[in-house]
Amino acid sequence: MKRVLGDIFSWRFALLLFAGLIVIYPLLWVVSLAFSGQQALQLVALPEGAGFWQQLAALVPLPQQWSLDNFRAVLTEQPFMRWLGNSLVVALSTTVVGLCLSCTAAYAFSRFRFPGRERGLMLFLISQMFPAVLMLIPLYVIVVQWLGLGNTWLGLVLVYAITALPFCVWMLKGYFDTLPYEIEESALLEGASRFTIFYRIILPLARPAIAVTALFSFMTAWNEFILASIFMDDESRYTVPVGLRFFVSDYASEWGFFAAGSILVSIPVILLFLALQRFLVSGLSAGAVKG
Amino acid sequence: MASIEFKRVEKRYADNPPTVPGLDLHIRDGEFMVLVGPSGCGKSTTLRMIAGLESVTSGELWIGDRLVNELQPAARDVAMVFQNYALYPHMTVFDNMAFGLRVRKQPASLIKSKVEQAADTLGLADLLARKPGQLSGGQCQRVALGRAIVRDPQVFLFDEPLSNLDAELRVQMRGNIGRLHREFATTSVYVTHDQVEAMTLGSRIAILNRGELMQVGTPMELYNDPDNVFVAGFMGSPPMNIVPVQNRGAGLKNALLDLPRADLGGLAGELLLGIRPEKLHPAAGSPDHWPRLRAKVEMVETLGAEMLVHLGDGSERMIARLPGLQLLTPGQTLELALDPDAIYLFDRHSRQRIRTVQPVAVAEAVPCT
Amino acid sequence: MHLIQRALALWLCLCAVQAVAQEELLLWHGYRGAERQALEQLLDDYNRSQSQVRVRALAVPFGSYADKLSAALPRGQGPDLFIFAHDRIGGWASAGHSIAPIDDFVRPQVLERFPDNLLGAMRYQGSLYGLPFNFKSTALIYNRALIDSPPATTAEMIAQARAHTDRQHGRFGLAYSYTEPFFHGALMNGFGSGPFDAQNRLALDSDTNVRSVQLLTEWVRTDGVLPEEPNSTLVTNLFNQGRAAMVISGPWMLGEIDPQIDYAVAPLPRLSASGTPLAPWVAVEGLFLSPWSDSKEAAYRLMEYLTARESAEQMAIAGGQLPANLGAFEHPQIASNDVAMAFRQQLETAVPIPNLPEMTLLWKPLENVLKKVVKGAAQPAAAMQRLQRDLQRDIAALQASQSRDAGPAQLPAWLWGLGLFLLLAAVTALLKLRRRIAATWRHNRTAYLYILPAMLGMLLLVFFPLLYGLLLSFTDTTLLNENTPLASRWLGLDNYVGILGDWNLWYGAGAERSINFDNFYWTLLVTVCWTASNVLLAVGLALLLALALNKPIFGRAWFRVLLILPWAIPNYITALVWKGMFHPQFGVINQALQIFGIAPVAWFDSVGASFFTGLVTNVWLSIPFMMVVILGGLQSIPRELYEAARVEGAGRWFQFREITLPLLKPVLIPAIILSVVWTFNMFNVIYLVSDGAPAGANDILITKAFRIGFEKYQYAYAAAYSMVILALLFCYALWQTRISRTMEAAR
Repeated sequence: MKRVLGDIFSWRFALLLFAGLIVIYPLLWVVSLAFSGQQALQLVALPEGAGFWQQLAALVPLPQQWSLDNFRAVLTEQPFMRWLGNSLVVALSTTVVGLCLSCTAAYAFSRFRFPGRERGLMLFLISQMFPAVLMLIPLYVIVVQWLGLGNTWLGLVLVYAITALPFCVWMLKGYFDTLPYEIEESALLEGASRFTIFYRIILPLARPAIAVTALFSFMTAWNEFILASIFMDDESRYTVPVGLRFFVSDYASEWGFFAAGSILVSIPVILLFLALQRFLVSGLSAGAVKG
Repeated sequence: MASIEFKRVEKRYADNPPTVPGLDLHIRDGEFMVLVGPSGCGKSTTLRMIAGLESVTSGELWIGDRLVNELQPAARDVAMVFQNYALYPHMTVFDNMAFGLRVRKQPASLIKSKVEQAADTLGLADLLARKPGQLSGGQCQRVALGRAIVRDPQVFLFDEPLSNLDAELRVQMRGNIGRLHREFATTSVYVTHDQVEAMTLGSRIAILNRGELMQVGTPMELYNDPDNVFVAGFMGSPPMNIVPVQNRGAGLKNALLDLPRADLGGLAGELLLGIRPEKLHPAAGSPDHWPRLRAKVEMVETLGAEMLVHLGDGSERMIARLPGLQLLTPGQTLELALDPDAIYLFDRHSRQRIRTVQPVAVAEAVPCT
Repeated sequence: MHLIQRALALWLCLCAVQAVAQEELLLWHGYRGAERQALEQLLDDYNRSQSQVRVRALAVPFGSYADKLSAALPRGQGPDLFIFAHDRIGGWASAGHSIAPIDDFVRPQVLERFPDNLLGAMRYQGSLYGLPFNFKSTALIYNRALIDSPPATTAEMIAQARAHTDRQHGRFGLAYSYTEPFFHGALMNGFGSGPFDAQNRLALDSDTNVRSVQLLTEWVRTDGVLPEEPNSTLVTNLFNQGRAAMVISGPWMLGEIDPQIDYAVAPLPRLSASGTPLAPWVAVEGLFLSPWSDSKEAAYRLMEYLTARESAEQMAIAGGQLPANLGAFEHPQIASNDVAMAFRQQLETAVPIPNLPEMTLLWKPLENVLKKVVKGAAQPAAAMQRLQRDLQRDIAALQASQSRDAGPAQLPAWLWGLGLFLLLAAVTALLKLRRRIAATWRHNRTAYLYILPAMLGMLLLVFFPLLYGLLLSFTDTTLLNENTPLASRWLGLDNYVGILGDWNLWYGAGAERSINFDNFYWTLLVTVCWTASNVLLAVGLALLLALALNKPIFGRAWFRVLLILPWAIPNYITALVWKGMFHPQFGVINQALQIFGIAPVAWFDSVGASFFTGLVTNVWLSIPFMMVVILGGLQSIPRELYEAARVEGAGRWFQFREITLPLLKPVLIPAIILSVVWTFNMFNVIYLVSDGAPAGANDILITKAFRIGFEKYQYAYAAAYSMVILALLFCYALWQTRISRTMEAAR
């Protein structure tokens, strides 16, 4: 008890509390808009001649009345659940494909010394530097015209997996670097093939980093909407973010629906974050000091 | 089981000078060979070449009747115990020990019986379900040993397996390893920088320095009959006293000792004289014909039954291992006698042993006054 | 043999006949809700009414509809027909391969369904490109509880508005998105002929257009009846709360009006000065035909069906549209709908948005000028003259590219030579090094095999597009010549010369001298400041938070989850929330400042304040990643080091400086490189929060490239911009890794 009180009155706690408030405040606006049952944020309407506290209270993002209408509309007006399912399929496949590609590449970058290694790593970094805005047309040409993967999830999955690849490779390579060589050598002596070692030893050991890369790939696929709506020619194949964008247009935007939808869409990601929380910190930078 | 043969084996990385410049070494079948030397002497590289973890740049490496230069590690049928154990952290002790067998697709029942047998031998039976993170260092090392023996390989390789353990455990594990070798009589190659381990474990010891093989032999051969200054200085604790002496035509002399009537045949110039600390005896009670030396006591390390007396006057230093009976104070002058049978002479430049002259005979011929 | 071939041919013919038996038509649209249901109902009916054609509809969200069309249509993909606003006809028609005229199919009596101005919207350079489907224009929507009868003249409107304005309490007599050109069009068209003169030449600096801007300025600054920083959400909100007596908006707003508000719609008033009515722009959604359609005839028949009176009535009644087939307004249910009839009446004076390709260049710059003028930062006449000059230049660039393809240019000879030389060099190198390559491959086969799949993917989906961008940057590709052969567009290094050699740092002279915000070097400066301040702040704050979280504290797990949240929620929506919070009049930030007695800040008016809004948002978004990285780094620093330092009497600051920071470096440097790259190219935050306000001064290179590409349609110039971005970042990465390597070596 005493410790708790001591904690609460420490500067660290004050700092965290302050930061927490700043982080949560804009999010509360999203939540309150979603639950308001309306389409626009209520403007801060100060009562005439309001006192200081009343004025302050007016800044608290709470809907005037709570309503689930927005959620109901989002779930019923469109085949939301179906699109959610599509998104899950696409995002999970992206994660799997992305992990397969990035784990093998990162392993090679970490464990083998070969001509072109440095340059290869640099190439991965460069790919992050090219503005995505201009990639649209060439990607369309390649995926839809050349590969004939328009209107398929495979096309989307490939593009997403490759988009997330550079970050994943860098991440995993850093982590693999911290794993001791001896473990692999030991397995090598025991007669395991390179692949067995990779699959049975390295991958289980790199679980934190793999969790983080998986999360990253998943989010890349989960939130993207432009490519998804351009590649898909069949509404039953849309992903959730595409569905959400129907609520936003130049003339009139149903921000309430959009907020409710965003919250629904964020829930799986937040759950993933919670589930992977214990890996997150170690995965992003474990062993960096050792290595 | 198999012998191991190095024929002019060379290892170099890129364009650097070779780490191992042409090694010739024969390790006999069933032998426990210890590779010892200071760090960076190439002993680990040599071991890893046997394992196949390092490629051989040139020369031939044979295990049994197979030339293994190009053979994959897995195909060499060797097992290795690493300094940091290299256990798979995500597997239980059982799985760790079973891994090699599983990879080789052995039947599950056989794996179980083999692992359990090894676990019994090493006293790991109660720990089979644990993961390495829950084990102590000694236990980890036993698991690593167990993992090696379940596979029943042709050769055991040990890469400084005890250096991460504390002194007591080290003694215990040393015993374990010795016992295992007696039991299985598998050819073993053991790398260490600790000469005590080398002495206690090795059937033979190979001493390496900067990639060069200094001497190979049984522990006592190396101890009693070192080929060069390096071996003499490396074996024994504290090491052999090696002091420069000047050959003035008819005697050896330096700041501490004077062997005036030594007959050195045709040898001339500067030499090194070596004598082990335990071969310096209190002058009183030593045979009269033994040469004497008088020196100031610098420091005394009392070990109970005996003591190490550091003698010297600044430029030359010697250590004597004396019975711990006398009371000595620093600054006091002490007279000691040298066992003439245990005096070694080395060439100062080549640092090789000079066997053509026996200082013993010289000393005997000239009774001391 | 022959028999089999004949049988096969026969079978193929049969298949073809069968396929013809039921043609499938694909229709794209951007509808949702009631409009979509009404449309689908119509299509269902159509499918059931006959058996030759089946229509399949695809709804595309607004945000990507235009991109989807411009990606698919020129490449022979996409629908048979589509519904879209008419203002892009000019662009598509000039570009070619995107849209087909329907003059060959159309029957004269069908054209009688539509009024002349709506049909005119479908015409470009003498060809008819589609049938109008519905129209959307603005009109005056007023709160009947506050306004008894709608104003007939602008003077009357302003007088009424003044009576209902109380700025102190956030009440306004009139509210509309007056800085958006679409809305301001009503004034421009009321005074004169709009942004283009009768010969379709740009005439923004004409006397009438200047007067329209002057009038707007008067309303905002002198009369003070309009709210600041208007946008459609704000307008709707004010109206719903009874805090705006009149708004100018379109039919799209009707669905969002609070049912408790008693409102009515009236046509916009007449200009008091000239007596001419305010003539709002009307956006006409048309049915357009793809030039690639295999069944144009059938597609045209579907157009006829969809614009027939019965269909129009359905779209109006069930879908809430204002159908272009005006016959539908005679249907009793529509005729009795005052709102619909008011918009119908407004159509009499409304003017279709010009469908010239140049028109699309005008939206954003005109909006910037309007924003500046209403804030008093510029004089109407001068600003419009300057805009006219700038736009004329952009239009000339666009047209130059089009006239160029008249005489097919050749790829310069040296380029062929260079290509040949490179090819030869590559081949000889390959032959010469064949053995070495083979040996390298043999030696490192495992490694290469591991990397191969990832590299193939990267080559295909990253480096090919990059190469495409590189090639594009050496051409003068624009919207208008996009589909001509590459050789005819070849330009060489001109784009790069144009970008890097743009030393017009200043505008005007003497007292009117101001920074030229369109200049590359200004944008580069902003981008560098943006990146540096973001990364510094994010790293600093994240470090602080990570330090606070590193040791056990009450609620630590909760704080950790909480502080990661911004990472988990799509940044699109959080960026918009931040934009809302920074609204100068109604945003919570200014409200809070006022509560504490601080004067509100006009966040989007000055370069600094506007920069700050983006900075805050982006730092808020990027702290979680940094914090997690740093936390991981902190946790892997051995505790003994601190203990050793404490024993030696080192203070906290010393420990932080001598132990924490150096040991964090291995984690921090890659994280910093990555976040520099990401921040440098952070499109969303700038685009959504400050949108480059004021007047593009806060655009970073990437948003500028986007604007050049998608607002000015100079694709090649945008590609060259992107290449410059790539080169800059590449140099940075090289420099950073070299620095950290030498620092590493020095240690």
